[in-house]
Amino acid sequence: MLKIEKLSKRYGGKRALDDVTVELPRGEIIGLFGENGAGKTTLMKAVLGLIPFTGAITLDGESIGRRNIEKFSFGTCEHSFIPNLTAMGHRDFYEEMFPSFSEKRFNGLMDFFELPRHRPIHTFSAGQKNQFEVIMALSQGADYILLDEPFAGNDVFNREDFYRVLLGILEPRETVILSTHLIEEVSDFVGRALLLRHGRLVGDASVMDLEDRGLSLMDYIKETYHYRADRVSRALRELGGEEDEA
Amino acid sequence: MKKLKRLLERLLPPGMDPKTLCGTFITGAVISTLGSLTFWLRYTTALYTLYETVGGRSQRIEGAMMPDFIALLGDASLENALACFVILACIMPLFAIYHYLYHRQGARSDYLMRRLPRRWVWHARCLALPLLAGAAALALGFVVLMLDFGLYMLFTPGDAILPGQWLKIWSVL
Repeated sequence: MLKIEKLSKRYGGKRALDDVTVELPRGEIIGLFGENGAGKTTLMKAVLGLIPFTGAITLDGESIGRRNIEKFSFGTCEHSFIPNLTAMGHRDFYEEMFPSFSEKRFNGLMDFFELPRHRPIHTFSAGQKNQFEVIMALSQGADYILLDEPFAGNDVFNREDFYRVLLGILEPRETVILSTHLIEEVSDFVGRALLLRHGRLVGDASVMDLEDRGLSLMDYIKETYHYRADRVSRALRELGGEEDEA
Repeated sequence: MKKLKRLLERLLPPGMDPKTLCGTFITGAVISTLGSLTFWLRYTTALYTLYETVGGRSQRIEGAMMPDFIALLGDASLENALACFVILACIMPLFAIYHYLYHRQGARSDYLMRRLPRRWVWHARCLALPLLAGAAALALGFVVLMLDFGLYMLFTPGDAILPGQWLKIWSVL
């Protein structure tokens, strides 16, 4: 169980995360939602120990450190692969560094996405780079797979393929924490939604509970964010009015 | 050769070609060695001043002494015959900065390196070869120093050598 307690993080004067407390058991696909700057990436980086923070993050009661960091993998739109290394070079490096690395999954996903194995990653297209980033995160053998906007810039077919593969390959011990803006696309397979706003956790709901309440994930998110449906029409009216006056 | 390349690659950030660092080191070492030859220019010039030609024959000037080895090597400036080795030793660790920055070129591979279970691997791969190359430059400079000193002692007439040459080297080092 990944436990985050009173997690706070400030960047200078700006509060990026504010007193976030949440428990994330194994075996779930969790959607992490929020507008830009809500704290999604900061939360993931804090879990991985990439940034200093206040509060506590533990895995099975133990702080995240050298002994359990391999239980986490990370796929990010910033890309954490090594651009000059080939796919096979990555495989060798991961195999050496992460004892639970799954070569079978690596090979399967490389074949599925038809990625070249002997070319440096910097020669890949933007879409291929995203796919490769995700492949490495999924193949590392981690229990918690943190994916931060992994398909920013990929076409819809690419993403759909990925979602299907993801659902097919995950083992019961694996948890995926997926940060994305593509709420409707992922609403069919996330089991739980975490909503961040201005660094605070403003929503945490299981999709099954939402369905029982007759709410879709999108409805829940709109409700939590107090989305004003008339916002667009009002803005257009006002803008039109300005034009008339002019 | 392949084995050496593989070994060097393991001491560098993943995916980095050892050619750049090795090329810089070898070029620097060659330039430094050539620079150290200035000692021999000074030495042979000083050696000739110990002699004069009388009646077509070369003979030692009475009381003429060879300058100190350390003086022929040059003072603590760029004119020192071994200065290039020191410069090389100072340049090589700068590669470590380049190695750290390498992990931010085209991607954030530092995220991967910083979450390795063996976290020291990241620092080891960034620091090992630049520090080793720096140490090798100093070691090479020391070997050339010892070689020059040996030849100075060998070719200089014994009674023309001022006492305490060995100690004078250490006093400067």
